[in-house]
Amino acid sequence: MELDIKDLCVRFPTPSGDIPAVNHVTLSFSEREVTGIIGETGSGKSVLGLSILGLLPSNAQVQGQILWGERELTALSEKELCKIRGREIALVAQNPATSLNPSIRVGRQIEEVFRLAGESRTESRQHTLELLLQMAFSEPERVAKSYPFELSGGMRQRILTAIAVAAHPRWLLADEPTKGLDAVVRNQVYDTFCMVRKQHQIGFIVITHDLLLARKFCDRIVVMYCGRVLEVNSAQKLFTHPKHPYTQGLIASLPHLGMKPMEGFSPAFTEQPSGCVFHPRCPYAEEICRTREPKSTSLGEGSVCCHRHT
Amino acid sequence: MKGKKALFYISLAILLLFLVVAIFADFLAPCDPSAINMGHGLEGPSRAHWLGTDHLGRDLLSRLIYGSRSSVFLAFFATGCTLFLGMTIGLISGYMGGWPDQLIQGVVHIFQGIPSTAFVVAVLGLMGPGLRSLLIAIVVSSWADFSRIVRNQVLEIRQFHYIEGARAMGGGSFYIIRRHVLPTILLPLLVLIATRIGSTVLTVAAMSFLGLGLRAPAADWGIMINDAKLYYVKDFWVLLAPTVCLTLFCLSINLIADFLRDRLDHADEASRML
Amino acid sequence: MKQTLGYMLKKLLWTIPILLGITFLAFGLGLISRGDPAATRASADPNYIPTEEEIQALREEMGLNDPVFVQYVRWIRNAVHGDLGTSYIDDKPVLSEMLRLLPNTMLLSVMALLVILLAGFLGGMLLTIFRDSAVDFVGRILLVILMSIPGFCLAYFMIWLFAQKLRILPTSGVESMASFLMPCLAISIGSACVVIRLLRSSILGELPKNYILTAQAKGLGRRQILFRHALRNSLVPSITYSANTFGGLVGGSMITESVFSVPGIGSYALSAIHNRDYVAIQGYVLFTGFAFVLICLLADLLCVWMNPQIQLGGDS
Repeated sequence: MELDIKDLCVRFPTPSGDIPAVNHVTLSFSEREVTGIIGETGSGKSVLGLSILGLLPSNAQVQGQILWGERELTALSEKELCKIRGREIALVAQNPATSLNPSIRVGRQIEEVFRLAGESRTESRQHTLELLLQMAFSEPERVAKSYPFELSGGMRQRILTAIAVAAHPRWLLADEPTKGLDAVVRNQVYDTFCMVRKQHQIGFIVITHDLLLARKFCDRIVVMYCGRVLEVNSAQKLFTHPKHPYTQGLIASLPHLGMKPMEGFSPAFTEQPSGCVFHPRCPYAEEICRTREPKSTSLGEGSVCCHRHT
Repeated sequence: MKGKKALFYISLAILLLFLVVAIFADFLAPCDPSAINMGHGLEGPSRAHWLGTDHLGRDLLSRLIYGSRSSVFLAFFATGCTLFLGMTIGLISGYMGGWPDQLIQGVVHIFQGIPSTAFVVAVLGLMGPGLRSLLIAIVVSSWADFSRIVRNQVLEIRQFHYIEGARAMGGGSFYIIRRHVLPTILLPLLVLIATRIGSTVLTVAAMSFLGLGLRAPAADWGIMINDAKLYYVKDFWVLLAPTVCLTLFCLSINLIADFLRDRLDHADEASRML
Repeated sequence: MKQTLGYMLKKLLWTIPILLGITFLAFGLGLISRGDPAATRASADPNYIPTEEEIQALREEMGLNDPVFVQYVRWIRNAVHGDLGTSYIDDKPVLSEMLRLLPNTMLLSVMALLVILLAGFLGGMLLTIFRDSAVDFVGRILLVILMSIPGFCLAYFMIWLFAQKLRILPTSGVESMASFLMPCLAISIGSACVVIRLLRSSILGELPKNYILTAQAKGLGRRQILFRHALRNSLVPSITYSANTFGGLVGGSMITESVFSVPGIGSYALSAIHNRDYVAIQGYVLFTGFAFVLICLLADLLCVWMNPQIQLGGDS
């Protein structure tokens, strides 16, 4: 089933003005595809991800549509959303250290998903052990009896992934899966994801600022900045021929490509630049960039949102 | 947040009002609090006695005003002594580090483990009932909490890397102190001071009520409640007046502590994000 | 598992110096305040004035000339064998007197604990479920006001209302269970309010955490998330507080027992203070201290069992 986001806006009202975390985003994700959403911290990519599952804080104001097949996710009740979460679209939350309940054995935390699907206690225990074995744990019984703090970072990440795939969802949403992990564990995450992809044949949406993971793992990449989509393209094209100056800057800042940092900082959400949001940092900025917001233009498979490509 | 702030200022004003009343009791009280007038016992409110009189014909309002003196002063004084003792020990422990710190922390741990009733009863038993023993009992049983907090804060200041960070980012020293040092150092201490003042007022009142603190002819809220216990069935006033005072005092202290604790949580969050 | 055991062992070991501290407190109290017991005993007969030699001999016999440490050990040994001495006032053994009064105090404190736990849990959950609504707002205002009323004022108010005006409960005594109802409420209402507030704020502190997001993403409903995930991690402060209160109550509540004329440990201590009965005070300090420490230890172990991650946060 396809996932279509149409003109989505998410705002958080605060005493010092509204924070527009996601601005008029239109995206579609086709079945079994792996899409990476990349961007700096604060580009609204996590908010976009959580809005798909309806997991935003209660003060968030959501406009626009998120279509999951026939259903409009933003219009569903909490009860209906609960049936979609986990079973159709699952989440691997960021930071495995804090994303597992510290006082419940991990086996129980996985079982919970099976129990929710209506299985009996013995069935769910059996399935949990099978799943752990599948996730390359050599001693599933021992792991199931452990508390999260007794496991290593990589193991916790795999447990989180196991929780996500337990109910055989069609989509898996990974929110910053490698944030704060060291290089070895980052590679383990990649291996786990590849394995899950092969075994379960599901689509991924990987929200990350880890460009290397995005390039290795994703078919298609979405570049976000200030809550807007600046460029979409296949991973290969995007990394070889980046169109948007921001994407070019991001790629040029990769360690093995010279590690050239981009000028300036991303602006605060409350004081967004007029015209093209990227113009204060753009080396090619012209008068038109300061006044008019560019529209997204399709180029081959992808699209870009820049005055230089209209 | 605005409502909370307003509530905080109102509570602070009430607390200050109690203090002012306590300080200027001599000027504010309309009558002598211990002037007995047997003919006019248990009279309701009148022009001469705004809140009426107790069973010995003493003016209730004047007794309340003088009562605030003993309760409020004692509470602040006892808390001050505790703070001084706890802070001194905590500072020594924190700055010296090493084995003296370990030793002091061990003693602190032991004092925190012993219940305060045991201290109160032991000291009262040793020195006999009275104000002085009550004060000592309060200080001995509660200095440990203060010293632990102060010591932990000293340790924290020593590793205030983020202060360096703030300075590097160009913050002036006043800004740094206001933004970073005060919330971490002062707030936890203030919360503890506030709760302690509240509980001390209660302890003093309770002990005076039991006849273990201030003694009978004195004007004190606890003693007033004790005096009232034989007469309140018919004249509810005599019980209600000191109760309302005590409750109002504790309420304002509780609200202040709540507000400070809220701020503390926010400061915690902020420092965690740094 | 090993870590958990190690942590528990550490907790157990820490109670030893605390218990020792309590014995020092009790023994030191007796040592300083008792005057000269030998002289007191020798002059028990008012018609006979003892000579200095006789007193000296009695001192030797009672072991008062031994070093303080030896006396301390002897005292401890007697205490372990259930001998806390006999009261100066009525010559009754302190321990058996306290054991006679203990059931009343125990009944009162267990009832109070039940009220605190029950009200704390229900109230805390109620306020969490209705958080940020009118129920929550009004509830919190009521709680902070109720919390601020001193227990003994509340006690008199209840007597006035239930015993004098409504005439449904007896004012004092221990004849029936009904007579325990008011004292129990008087000592538990304030603490129950504190527990409700603690539970509410710790649950609300858990809700923004990442693992709640994971639980939501599994498709769990609000109630399951609250009861199965958030509650478990929020119980520790409430349990610790309830245990502290209970530990204090088992040592007797002087005020409530005196207001409602309940013959219990607290009223025993009160009369001991008034009579300057040092042996009884000594026994009381020892008893109440031990009861408090042991109950707090139990609560600590309970918390570790419920939330095995505590040990990682270092010692309390």
